[in-house]
Amino acid sequence: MDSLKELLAMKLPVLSEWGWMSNPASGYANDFNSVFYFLMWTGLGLFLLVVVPMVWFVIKYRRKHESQKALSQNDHNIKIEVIWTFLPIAYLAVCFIWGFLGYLNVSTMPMGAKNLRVIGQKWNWTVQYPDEDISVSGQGAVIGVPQGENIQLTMSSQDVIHSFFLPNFRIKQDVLPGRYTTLWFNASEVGEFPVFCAEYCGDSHSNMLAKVKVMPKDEYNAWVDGIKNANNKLSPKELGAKLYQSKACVTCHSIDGSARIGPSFKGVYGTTSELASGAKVKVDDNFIRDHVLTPTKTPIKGYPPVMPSFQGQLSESDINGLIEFIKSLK
Amino acid sequence: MSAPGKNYLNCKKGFASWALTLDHKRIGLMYLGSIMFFFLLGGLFALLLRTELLSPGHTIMDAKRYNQLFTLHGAIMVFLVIIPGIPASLGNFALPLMLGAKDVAFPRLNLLSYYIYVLGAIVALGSLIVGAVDTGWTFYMPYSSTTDGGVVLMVTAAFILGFSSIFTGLNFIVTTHKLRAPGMSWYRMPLFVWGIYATGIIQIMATPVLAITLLLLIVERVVKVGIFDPVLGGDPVLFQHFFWFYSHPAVYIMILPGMAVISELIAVFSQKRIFGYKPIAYSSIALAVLSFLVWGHHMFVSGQSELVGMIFSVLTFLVAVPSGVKMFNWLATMHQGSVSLKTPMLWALGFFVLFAIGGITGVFLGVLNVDVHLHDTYFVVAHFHYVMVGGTFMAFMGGIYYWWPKMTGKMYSEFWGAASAIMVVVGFNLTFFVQFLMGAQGMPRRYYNYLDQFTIYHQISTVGSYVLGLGFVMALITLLVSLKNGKTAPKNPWHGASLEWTHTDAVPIETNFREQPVVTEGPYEYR
Repeated sequence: MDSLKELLAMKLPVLSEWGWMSNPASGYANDFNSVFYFLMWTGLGLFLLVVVPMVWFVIKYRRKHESQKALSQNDHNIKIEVIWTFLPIAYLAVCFIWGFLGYLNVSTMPMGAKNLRVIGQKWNWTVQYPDEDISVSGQGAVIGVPQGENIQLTMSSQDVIHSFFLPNFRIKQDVLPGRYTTLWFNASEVGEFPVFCAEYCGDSHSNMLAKVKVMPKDEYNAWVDGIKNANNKLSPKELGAKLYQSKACVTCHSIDGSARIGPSFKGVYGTTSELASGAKVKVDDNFIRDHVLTPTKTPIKGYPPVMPSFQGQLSESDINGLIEFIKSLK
Repeated sequence: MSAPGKNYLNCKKGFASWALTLDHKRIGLMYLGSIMFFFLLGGLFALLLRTELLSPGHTIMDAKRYNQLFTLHGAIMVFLVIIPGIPASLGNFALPLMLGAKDVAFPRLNLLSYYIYVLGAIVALGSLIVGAVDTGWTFYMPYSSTTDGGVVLMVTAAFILGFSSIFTGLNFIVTTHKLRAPGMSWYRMPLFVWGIYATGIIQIMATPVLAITLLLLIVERVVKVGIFDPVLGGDPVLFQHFFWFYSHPAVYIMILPGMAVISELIAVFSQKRIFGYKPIAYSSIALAVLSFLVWGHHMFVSGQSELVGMIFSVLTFLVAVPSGVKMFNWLATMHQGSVSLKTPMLWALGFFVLFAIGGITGVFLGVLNVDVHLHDTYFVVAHFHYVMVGGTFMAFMGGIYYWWPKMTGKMYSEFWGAASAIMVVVGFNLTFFVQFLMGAQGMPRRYYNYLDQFTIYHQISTVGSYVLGLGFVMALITLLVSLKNGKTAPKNPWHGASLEWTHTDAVPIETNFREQPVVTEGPYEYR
């Protein structure tokens, strides 16, 4: 849990301790602040517009003795009623149009943006980089992005609804099982910015944290190389062990022989399994490979057929790594 | 006809005379007692939650317990306290009196709806035995299909409670149409009646949709038919549409009666004819109608289409107009009045300030792109507490203090009543105002754990919640003490001009009026 403690100590950059907003990290976030502060100041004005007269009337017309009558029984004034019905409509129209323009901006994906794939699952985020052929995942995952480029996130969920929330970018989008939703941003500021899950998803909902790390282009390239090298330097077995965690195999498959949603990996390599169809298969390299990529073709007897496909998410060396890892679990 | 000295409280004695009563006044009091019990229970859960949030991570409970408690807090406060709240207790007590009727139109149905409420409450508490629910009061799919615990029982409880709400609404609508005293035209009805009437419309039109949704949820969980769960081929966003199609109108089931009480309080304690009677009455109806057309504003980031989001944003802004009209009319009513600061008026003025903040922050959330950022943060939590507690509950307390002499025949201590109202307003702002700051900075709601930098805000909020809790407890104790020590109430302590003050005994007799009142003028003619 120490890693979680460290994670919670991360800063959500805020200009001043008591500021209304966290620091804007994109051009859009700056535009957003204009709308927000417009609402805040006009809202304060509206508040004073009703509360100051209230206080004034309470003082001025305060009943001083029990039998004091009202000064008048006037109960209508068409002119003022028209004003307080229609003036707010004009104000609200301004609010709507301004907010709508901002919303168009958020929800229109820019052409030619760099695409990242985001997968939400209880309780961490996985981000895949199709261009660079890398991925990052796990609690507190660092999601590197180049500064000043349009980044589009194409998101889906492995289980329940999550919501990808980047406060410094003022954007948020629910992440659903069974369909894709999208989000985009263009980071203008270098730095680390927290990612929250904003849709309640169970026990560790509040620990479903990650960071977006915005870097200048060359630093970003070095970061990508670093991740590639780190993976290359690992022995296949170590790579497999890492993927076992980061691809969340661990959620359903134990390595100590205990039963979870799927069979344990312990000692499974080389044994014979019975499929739901009744056929018997040997758990060898080819079986594992096929089962990881197209699990629905070979459901195992006695387990619910809920394993997702990892087609396109694993490179050749990743699959080899996983096989070597499973092989090693005697 | 009742003998002198006999009233609805002392005319019959014994447990059965209460348990089987058909008297709307007694049923109203039974509701009031039950609702206050659950309010204290839900409030206790809130204080436990706030205590847990004093520090990040584990303070007094683990994450699982925390998630169960916020679910219970929400479900109890929504389904057992605020939705029945004012209509079932104050509405039951005052509405027939204000109309000059002997009782509601269907007294037996009225008693039945009370017992349905009790049954729903028992089933809800029973779900705790099976295993406390941790889905949040919104039961969002597919999470609520994956979690164990008594989801089915809790949902069944909400289903049952819905019927209680429908029957109460139906009763008030028919009573308003059929049982008005001679001379009581629609525009001579007190605005409280208009508000409760508008609420009744929503209750009978929206609640069945909740029932259908919850039934589908149960069918899906039990029989595994794919409706909302994508694993079974369903659509989780469809659940949100169904759910909010009820639950947004439900927000108006909660706030309209609050506004209805405030209209009475402001007029009586200013001793001035209400300003803009018809605009206030029509704005209640307008809010009831508009309430059906804005559910999608809970779903701007859910994945619904942008066009739909835009339409819901426009419609949402329309809601602000009738709400604003009411505020301005109340303000104008106080102008040149004879303003008394008795305890009920203090609650009303508290409502005025807190509801103004709740309404203005509602505009923030109606603005499309601002909502994208604020959705599911503490900003939303603060906003709806300002509306539901700062609005509805302040009005509820004001209404209880206003009709208390008529209900019980006792006057309470003005000093303690005023002190508790002030304490609630101070404690409330301390608790919830910092939540706007936290939320705007990005602190998501329903978080057991949080970034260290939010600690100070959470601590202020927690301290505030203790002040708030103490204020409410003081307010209730003040009332209970008055039962024993209070001075005998006069017939019309506030110089009210509606029938429950002018035409009944200090404590009304069982059949309300000694002779049929005949109405010759409006309800706000103060002399």
